[in-house]
Amino acid sequence: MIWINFLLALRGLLSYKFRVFLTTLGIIMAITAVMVMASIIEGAKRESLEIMATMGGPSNIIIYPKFPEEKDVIPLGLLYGDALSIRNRSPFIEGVSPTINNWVGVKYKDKQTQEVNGLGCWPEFLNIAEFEIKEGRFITWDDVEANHQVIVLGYITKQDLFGHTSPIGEKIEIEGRMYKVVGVLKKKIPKGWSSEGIKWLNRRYCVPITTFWQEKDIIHEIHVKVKHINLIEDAFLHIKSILLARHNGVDEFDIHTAKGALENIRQGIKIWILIMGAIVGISLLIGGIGIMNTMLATVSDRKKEIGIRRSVGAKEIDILFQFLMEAVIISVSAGLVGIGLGMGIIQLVGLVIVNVEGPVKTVIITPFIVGLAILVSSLVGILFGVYPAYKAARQNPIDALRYE
Amino acid sequence: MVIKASNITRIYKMGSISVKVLNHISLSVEKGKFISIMGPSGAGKSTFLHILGCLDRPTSGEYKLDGLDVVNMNDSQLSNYRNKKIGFIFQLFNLLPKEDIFYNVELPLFYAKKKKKERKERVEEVLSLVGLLHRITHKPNQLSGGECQRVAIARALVNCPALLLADEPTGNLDSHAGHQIMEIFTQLNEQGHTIILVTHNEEMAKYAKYSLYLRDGKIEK
Repeated sequence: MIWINFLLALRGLLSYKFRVFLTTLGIIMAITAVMVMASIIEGAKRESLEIMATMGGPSNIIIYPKFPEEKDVIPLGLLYGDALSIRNRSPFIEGVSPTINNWVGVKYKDKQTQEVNGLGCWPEFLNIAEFEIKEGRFITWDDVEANHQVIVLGYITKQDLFGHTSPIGEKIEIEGRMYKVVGVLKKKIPKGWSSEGIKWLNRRYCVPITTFWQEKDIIHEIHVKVKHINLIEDAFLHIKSILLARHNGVDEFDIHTAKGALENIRQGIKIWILIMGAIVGISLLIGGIGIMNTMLATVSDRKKEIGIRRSVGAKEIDILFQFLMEAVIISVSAGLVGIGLGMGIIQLVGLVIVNVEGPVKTVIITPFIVGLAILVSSLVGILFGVYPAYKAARQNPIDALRYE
Repeated sequence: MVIKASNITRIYKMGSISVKVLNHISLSVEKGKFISIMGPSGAGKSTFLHILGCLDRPTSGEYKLDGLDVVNMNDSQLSNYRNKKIGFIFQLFNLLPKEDIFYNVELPLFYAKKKKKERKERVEEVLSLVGLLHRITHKPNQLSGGECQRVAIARALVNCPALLLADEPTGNLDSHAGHQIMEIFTQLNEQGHTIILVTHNEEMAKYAKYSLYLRDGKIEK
């Protein structure tokens, strides 16, 4: 029954293609906007996940050095002692680790990896970054204090160098210095994340920070895990006061909280939803009215046709379904074009937005977004097609037949 | 008995004016008959035919088709009757101009919810019956008037209806094509179809076995 009505509707539509095309423009625009909006939201969600993955957890804080605003001050940078002070004095924290970052390849016998992230850190970093040990052990305080040349490999780096054999006890060369492998990290993929974006995290290796100095006592970051997410503000203020006191009151550090970063993204999404939501709403309305207008014009143009169909046995409901189906076909095909156009725009945007510091941020299309677009466009077709279809169905067959 | 209409009255209301188009008409037609209804224009011939064909309802009166009360049927039942029991043939053919001959003849089969294979078989069967199988992919405007009317007859026959109703079927045709159409009606009647023909052309009316005259909404003999 529905299939036959669909065939009748499709056939009916083909007889006035150009008008249909003009009608679809509003819906096309709306659905394009739906796609772009949904994928921006999706992209932002992934960005949040990425933040969680790199920062470790929602209650984490990372401190970076920055140039002080006062011009005549010589910056000290972030110091090893800063990390020690925070560790000894802050009551709000669960773990602290200063870190030194280095991007070089590592060597095992004749195998050389690409540039990977090497991290000098403390034992607590494992817990802060929410990594787990796959085999062996992590760095210990003993390693840090005695400058042991030991290394814990990231999962992918281990795979690259050793395949499936165990690396424990093997020697690895980093910039001419030999490290003994003592452990391997578990692969980490946050939920809902295609592993590509954080592959570099799974390549990262860790060594005791005291073996990794590029300049004595100068560290790159301090990672902090706060005891509870509700204590982040207190921890933030306390850390700030400790650091200010140690740096003679000079503000030469940025204190990032994961919570704050997530909050920023959430605010950004909110604004996008408002703007795009308005565009979507208005263009759906315009598109819907366009469909209604076209269908009403069609119904009066095709009065004779309706009469002929009725005379050979079409029921009111058959006519209703035919015209309703025509409206839905119009809006859904417009929706499909909108999906295509939206995807195109999203790809373009994805090419433009490149995060220079790390992985390329792509704007994401999921089956859910496509499904949503189809659903929205069919609903518009039904909503705005019902009245013209009802009008068509309720025509008196005799009047319709006599119409020329 | 195919048709039993009694005291059929049809009043059209146009604003405050009421026009009595049909005035207590009664008519019985037995199965297999070929009847012509004649009369001047405006006599109510078409209106009567529309009522007999379940396209319109009488204002009052009783109408039984195949023994079933048609007057009180709902839209779905009436449409079903038009689809399966009645074949209409109109003066202006009433084909869908943008569609090809195949689709035009196929149309009633859609509403009868026939499967694709059966639709194709039936369309080809009735088109060969009226000798137009070779025109199957043409559009109505590529056909002559006589051919169009034969397509319309094929469409009317496609669901094997018991009753054929023709409203001035030769009105737009030259005399040769007109006679050709009437020959087809004669054959169909011989095969057992009941036919009611409305015309004001006496020559065409002669093909029917029985004629009646309608004037001012009443039957005169």
